[in-house]
Amino acid sequence: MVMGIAVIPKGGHVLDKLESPASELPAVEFVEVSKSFGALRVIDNLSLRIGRSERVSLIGPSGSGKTTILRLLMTLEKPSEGTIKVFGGALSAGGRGLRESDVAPLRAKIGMVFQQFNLFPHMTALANVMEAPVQVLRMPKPDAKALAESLLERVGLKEKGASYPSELSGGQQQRVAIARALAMKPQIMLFDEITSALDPEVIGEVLDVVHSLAHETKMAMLVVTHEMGFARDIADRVIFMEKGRIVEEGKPAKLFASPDNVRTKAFLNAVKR
Amino acid sequence: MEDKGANDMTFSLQTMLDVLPALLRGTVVTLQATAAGFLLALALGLVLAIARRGSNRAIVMVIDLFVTVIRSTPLLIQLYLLFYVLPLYGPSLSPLVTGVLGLGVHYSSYLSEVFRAGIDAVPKGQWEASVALQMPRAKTWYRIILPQAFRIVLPQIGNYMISMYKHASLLATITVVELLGAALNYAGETFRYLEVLTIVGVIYFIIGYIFSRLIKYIELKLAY
Repeated sequence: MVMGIAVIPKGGHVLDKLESPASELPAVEFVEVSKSFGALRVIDNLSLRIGRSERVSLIGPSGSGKTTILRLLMTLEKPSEGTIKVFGGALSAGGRGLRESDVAPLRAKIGMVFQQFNLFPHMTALANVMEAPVQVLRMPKPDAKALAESLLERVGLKEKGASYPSELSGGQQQRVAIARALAMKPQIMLFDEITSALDPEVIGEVLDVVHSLAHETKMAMLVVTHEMGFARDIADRVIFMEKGRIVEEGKPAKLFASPDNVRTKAFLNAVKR
Repeated sequence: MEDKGANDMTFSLQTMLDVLPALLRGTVVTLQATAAGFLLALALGLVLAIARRGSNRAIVMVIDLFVTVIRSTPLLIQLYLLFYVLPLYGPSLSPLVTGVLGLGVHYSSYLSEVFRAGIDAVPKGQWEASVALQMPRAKTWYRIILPQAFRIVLPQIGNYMISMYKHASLLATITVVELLGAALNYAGETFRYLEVLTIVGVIYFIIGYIFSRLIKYIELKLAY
């Protein structure tokens, strides 16, 4: 997998960079990012690059900062220090405020699927998927409906368009949430413990959808999960985190079979049991 | 034929029929005052609830003060102030408009707190999903958050609507000839308090009952 070597052009507008032909800029770049909640340092001077269409799994114990990385990228949190870049443009930075008009086009390249699905309960599955294309992209309703129907079909829920979230199983809700995120055509997809709230028997159907996305699209994917098999199978690279830092990273086969770091080893042994 | 005046203690159906047209005209005024007052209360309450969530501390303090003062003082006094004192310093409004203003402002203080609770009850994940879908703030409010908050607080909104409808009888004290005012006028002239107040009570009950059924129906209709 190609890891982008960042050639950061000086000056110029965000869009210039995106359109530049030699865009080997990574999809995501964390530059010495820290995040504190009060006295608690959740992300500790972390730097990270994720290539275009690279698939990365983030694993580690609870509180290691995996989810915070996704939330920082989705701009649900603001870094305390450091800079987060998306395709070379500054998405968010500690200290200085960025203009929403600069940030919005970058954030538009990112989609996220949440642990708790977060579907809109007052809308049908179809309306959930149509909502952002219609309201944000101003797509005509018939087009949005066709798009939503094809996406629901893609996640295996063609017949469930008229159902409300409360009428769907957890696995079905999560698949609608994936379709909803896909409707905005993100180039970077964030999966935040998407099976943690699910009953064991429906985890497989959700993971199958993500696997098929990985095969059929070129999106960069950042996956936080406690499913070690999934973390291994989906990823080009696995990152093991602890206390807000990257302890070890590498190819999944290598990292899972023979981790170099003792803490990685201890964690993998602990979750195997 | 003896005049059926104050000393006739028998219950007179004829009196009830005589007073009915005046009472129905009063009922229309009561409903008008309630409808206009409640729309004002909903709009103002919503604005207060949303503004209350902003980061401007001065605005938050002013709103808190406003809500506290309005909620802690009787509507009757507020109506008197608007009716007798406001014209000395400001515009002279018709009694009905004054009453609508008083009802609306008074109930907006309650409804702002109701809306606030409803907005707070919408899970944080709904805001986050909206960010993840690139929804602008304003659209997030009216497409995602408020529809859910509204469903959550609908029973309380219904309670306040019925309460305001009954409270509209206070408008009689500022010369609005609404349902109770019409009744008191008639009873004052004929001393037929028993018949008049009985029929007024029945009218209040019937309309109040229709309101509560209507709210139940909307609740069911909006359930998801």
